[in-house]
Amino acid sequence: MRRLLVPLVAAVALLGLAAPAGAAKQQTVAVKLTPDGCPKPLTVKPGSVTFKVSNDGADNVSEFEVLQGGKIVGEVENIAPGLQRSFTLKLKAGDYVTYCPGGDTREKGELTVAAAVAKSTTTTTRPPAG
Amino acid sequence: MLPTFVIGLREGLEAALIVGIVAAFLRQREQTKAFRWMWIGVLGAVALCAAGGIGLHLASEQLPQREQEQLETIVGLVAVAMITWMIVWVHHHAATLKDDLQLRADVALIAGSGAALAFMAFLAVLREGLETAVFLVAAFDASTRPALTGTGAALGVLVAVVLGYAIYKGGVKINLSKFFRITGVVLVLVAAGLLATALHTAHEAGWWNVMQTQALDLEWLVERGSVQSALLTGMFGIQPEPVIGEVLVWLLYAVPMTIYVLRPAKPRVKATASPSSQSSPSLEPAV
Repeated sequence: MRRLLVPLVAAVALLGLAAPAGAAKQQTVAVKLTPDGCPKPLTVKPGSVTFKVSNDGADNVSEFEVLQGGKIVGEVENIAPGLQRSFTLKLKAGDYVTYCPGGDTREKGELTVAAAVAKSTTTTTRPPAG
Repeated sequence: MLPTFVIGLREGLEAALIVGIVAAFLRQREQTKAFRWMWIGVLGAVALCAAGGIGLHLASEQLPQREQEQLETIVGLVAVAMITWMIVWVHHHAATLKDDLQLRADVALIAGSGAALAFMAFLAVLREGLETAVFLVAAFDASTRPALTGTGAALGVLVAVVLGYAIYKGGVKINLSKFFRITGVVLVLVAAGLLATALHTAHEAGWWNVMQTQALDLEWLVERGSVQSALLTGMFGIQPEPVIGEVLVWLLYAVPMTIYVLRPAKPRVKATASPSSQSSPSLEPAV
């Protein structure tokens, strides 16, 4: 037991030191589910991200997932119109996919996690894909 | 109000259905003690989940979704095993069920299974209960018309409980042999749906990540947000967009099991069959 304890304490201490360096501060992203589905492309910085998911009156969408390479990184379900629930993820830099099952035109959306990127990437006008 | 009603109904049904089946089965076999334990377990699970849901809200904590999905997967698989065992048990005994003494002997033989079934009901409520409690709290906390939204969600759960009770009542009323014939195929569909759902939650739990390409589009059948979808998804685990893996396990379970259930049960011709002359014709397949 004691032999296990030392590396455990060391690991926890290391994590504690590493955390503030990598994840600067808590970020919160408001996600609004619409009848179309997911929100327009999102961009966040690596680290701890809280997704505040709300539903603006979409009867056909009630779920929000964050995927990477076919794996579900995090999700929240049963967000009926008027409801709000949040979940927090530790995200590394990379390209993620948001998935809002049932959405009319944007069942899948983009989520980019990148360090120190100018905030206006390509969130300008996107033609409404049919 | 309707959207939260539909979600409450679906979440509630998934638990109420299993409890109803277990209750009817225990009652049929006169497992009074296990029956009482089952209710204690169910009420205990409800209390636990209510406390958990309110506690999470008061502490502004989030439901650990991944652990929730892992729990749902494990309990789902246990439920599949349990229902399969029930189907096999009833099928095996269908030919001799009129013989009360024989039935009682069988019951005594596997009395221990009553406790296991009671525990299963507890797990089934725990499986969906926490998620449902969190949902109910969120509904009463809605940004727009919280009273109406919350009432809708609560009504949905309530209707699910009533349906579960109806399944129990109906299951008790008809005798076991008919229970088997009428519900055999239905039970197979329930278990197959649970199996597909377990694969679905296993994906959401991060345990299973292959065969995730959409196989079918069943949106026409289970249109999201409709009462019909709540019934079909809650009872038979039918997803609007099932993926290849889910369809595959559904077929692998449902096809052989349906054949098994529809195949007439062979009367057990053990050493002394002693077919008494008063053997009633009521056992003949009525249809």
